[in-house]
Amino acid sequence: MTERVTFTQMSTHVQQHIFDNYDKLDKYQQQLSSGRRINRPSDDPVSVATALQIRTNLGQLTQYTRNIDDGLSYLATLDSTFQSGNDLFQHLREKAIQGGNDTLNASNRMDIWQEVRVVFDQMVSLANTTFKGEYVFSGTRTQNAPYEIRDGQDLISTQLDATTVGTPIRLEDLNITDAGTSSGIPQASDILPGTLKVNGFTEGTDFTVDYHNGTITFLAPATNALAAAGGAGMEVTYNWLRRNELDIDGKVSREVAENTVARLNTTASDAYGAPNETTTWDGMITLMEGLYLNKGDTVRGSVSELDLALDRHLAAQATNGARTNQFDSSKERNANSSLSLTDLQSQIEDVDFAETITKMQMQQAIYEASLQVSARSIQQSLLNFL
Amino acid sequence: MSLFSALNLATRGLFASQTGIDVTGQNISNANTEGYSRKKVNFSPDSRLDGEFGEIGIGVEVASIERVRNTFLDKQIYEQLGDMGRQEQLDATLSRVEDLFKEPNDASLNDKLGQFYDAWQDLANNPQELSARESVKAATIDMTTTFHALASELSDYRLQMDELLQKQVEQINDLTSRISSLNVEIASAEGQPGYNANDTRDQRDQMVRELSKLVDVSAIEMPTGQVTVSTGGVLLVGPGSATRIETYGTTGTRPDGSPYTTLGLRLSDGKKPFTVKGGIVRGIMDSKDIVIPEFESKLDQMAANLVQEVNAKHAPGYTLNQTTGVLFFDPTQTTALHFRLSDAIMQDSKNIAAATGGQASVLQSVPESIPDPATPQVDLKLTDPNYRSIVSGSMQIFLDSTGETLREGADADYVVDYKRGVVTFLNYAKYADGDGISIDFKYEANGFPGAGDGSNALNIAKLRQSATMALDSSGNPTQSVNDFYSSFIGALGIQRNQIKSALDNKNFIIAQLDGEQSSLAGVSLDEEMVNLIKFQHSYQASARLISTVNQMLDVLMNI
Repeated sequence: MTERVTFTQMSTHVQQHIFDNYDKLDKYQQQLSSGRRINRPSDDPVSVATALQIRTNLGQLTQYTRNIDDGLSYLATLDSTFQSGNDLFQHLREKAIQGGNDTLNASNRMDIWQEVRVVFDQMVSLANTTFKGEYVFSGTRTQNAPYEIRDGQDLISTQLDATTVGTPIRLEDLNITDAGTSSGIPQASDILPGTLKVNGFTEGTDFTVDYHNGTITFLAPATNALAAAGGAGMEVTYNWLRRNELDIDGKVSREVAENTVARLNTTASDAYGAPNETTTWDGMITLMEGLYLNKGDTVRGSVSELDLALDRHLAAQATNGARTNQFDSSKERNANSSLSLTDLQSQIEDVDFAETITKMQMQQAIYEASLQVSARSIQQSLLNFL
Repeated sequence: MSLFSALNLATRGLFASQTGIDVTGQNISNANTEGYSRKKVNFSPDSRLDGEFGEIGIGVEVASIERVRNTFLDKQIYEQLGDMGRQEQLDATLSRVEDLFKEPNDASLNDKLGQFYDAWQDLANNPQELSARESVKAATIDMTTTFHALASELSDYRLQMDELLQKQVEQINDLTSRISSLNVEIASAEGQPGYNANDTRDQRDQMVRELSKLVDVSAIEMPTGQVTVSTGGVLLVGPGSATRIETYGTTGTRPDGSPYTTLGLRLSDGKKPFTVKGGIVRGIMDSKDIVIPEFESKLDQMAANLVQEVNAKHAPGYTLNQTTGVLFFDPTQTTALHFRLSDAIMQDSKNIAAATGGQASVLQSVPESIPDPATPQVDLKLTDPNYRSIVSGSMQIFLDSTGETLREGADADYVVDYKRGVVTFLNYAKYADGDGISIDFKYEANGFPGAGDGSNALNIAKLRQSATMALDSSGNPTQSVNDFYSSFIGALGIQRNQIKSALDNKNFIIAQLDGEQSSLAGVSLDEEMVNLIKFQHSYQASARLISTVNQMLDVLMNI
């Protein structure tokens, strides 16, 4: 006697198998219509964890690329600034060599001084270059200009006598007050030769100026004239280059790849020299001093100072170029990683259409077969033959 | 022996066939009734003792109508159904949790976390731009809102479970009271010998089966035909009565030792608490006490970690308002449901500390000597380039020889350029060139470095890669928040897969057992048709017997 097979049993089986097959068909259908192999974590837990990490990494790479693109345009701005700076240096050097020629007279040198004075302003405005409204040479103090040409003014009330004549007096800029200094008034340095005026006095005869350190020294002939002024004090006006007293050597960097933070900015000290070095400004001031006071030696001496400044400037440009290269190659690397990650992500998350369609068709055939077979077997009954 | 006794015999044959047809009819009409077991008529020959021949047949007797069913299989099915009920509920819960997290997807928490760090990177690129600051704020709010939504949906779902549990308890009470009343019917019906309460038993067994899906039950049949049903050591259905159960508030302890309040089960009379091991009820309790709280706690851990780590990096940084020590997240709210930006950030995005800072001021003591009166200045920057930005009024200068404190001021001993860190000595009457002095002062070690410094924003953006969570055995963090999240989403998938395959397995076993039972107890229409014909024929034969005897009597009467 074989096992009893009942109608309920058979119909349960038929139902179960049809459900099973339909469920599989539904799974393929879902994958195909969404285009995704994984629609929820339990579809493939290990892949989902990987997929999430890939998404994170891809997002990160996109961000790095954004950082790099932003950095590259910053570097390009710097590069063109350096390029213009180099031209100015060439110009200055020519003027220095020309002005050093002792066949020139005072008036010839004054003409050149005029030109250099303009170049000085141009150089300052290059040093105050901005990118998206931020000063590029100010380190992290991007809202403060690194340099400023100020109209300085001082009132010297010192009585000139035998003890004070010949003693250098520091020039203060009474036009500004600085909260940070105890006297409240900053001392001037880097004074532009040719701009300093003391009413009633002549430079060279009555006084001399140390332009780099910002001191004025009265000479003996001035004493009489001063007495004539009645001790009212001598007004000194001048232009000076004020370097921002804030710490403007801060680093600005961009993260260009995981754990790689690349330096982006060049500081004023890098490009034009730190205050305790012979700066670009020192070179130009020496040049202007020589030209204004018609001193050939000083003019010739400025050439080496300018060369030193130019070398620094070129080095800064080279560093900037190297940074551009670093950014470029990081960008390329990121693009490559991004490509392979996208590929991997697609492999993990996306449906292989050819494969899935084939599987679905197979499943469809199975499903149809199960329907057909069931339709036949379930209809059979003894009743049909009675 | 008379012809009349033959008539009598044939009549009993008719009755027997009729009973057979009735039972067949009942079987056919209940072919699709759930829980119905096919019935079988047992016939036995009836006889009397004859003086001449000994035993002589007087026809057929319907001895009993019994149901064909293997009750041992039923017990196995009950057991499996208990497991299945639990797994079905857990599967439903996990599937719901999967739906909530919507991973992998573009609007999911993973993406929001990514956007949060991206915003910090953008701020690092443009620390002075207010728009970048507002984006950090917006991305953070977007992320915290996603956390809030997930956490509250999870807790809502957990609270809905309480309601579900109440409903299941009502269902259990309903079933047990019905089982109990069917028990009484069966006992009274089967009080008469040879009498089987077949259909009532079918009904009752079907109910026990339904009950076994709700809780794990053990059902034992007593000699009276009644069945006792017990679960978790308490008797739900006893002889003649059912015990009602109810839920009550209680506390439990999680595997990690933390207590929680939840609903437990107890008897309505006597309030004796008990626990069940299987069934949908167990599934609900596991879902709300273990599964969902685990995900809630994972989210809380992430939120607390974000608050802690971001604040730790943010506080020492410098804001655009040149302040430091500002917290990014409200430190009092560390749960996934409530963590949020601090008020300072909410009010003003300039308070986001994109710039790196350190200690606001550091006390230094520098030994120096009084300089040459011609250049009466000491430049502290030359000692250490950091010695600028001297804190105003913090400087004190002592003469080594006398220990005297020098006075500051234009009309006193010295003046200070605080920004540049330059001291100018004035009163050479008091000291001489070369006198030893010590200069004490505070300076801004890492003061506000300017609006263009985004390095602290970068530090925070880098948290994306830094391991801050999931401490290993020696207490070192092993995963970043993102890694932690993706691994728990992976774990969620694995957990669901395990439950799903266990459930498939259970379904298969139950289908097998059901198949076995229906192979035995199920109605086969073909068989019933054959039986119908069989009984039809035996009825016809008995009728023919009557007509034959009738003819014979006719012949006899007409003699």
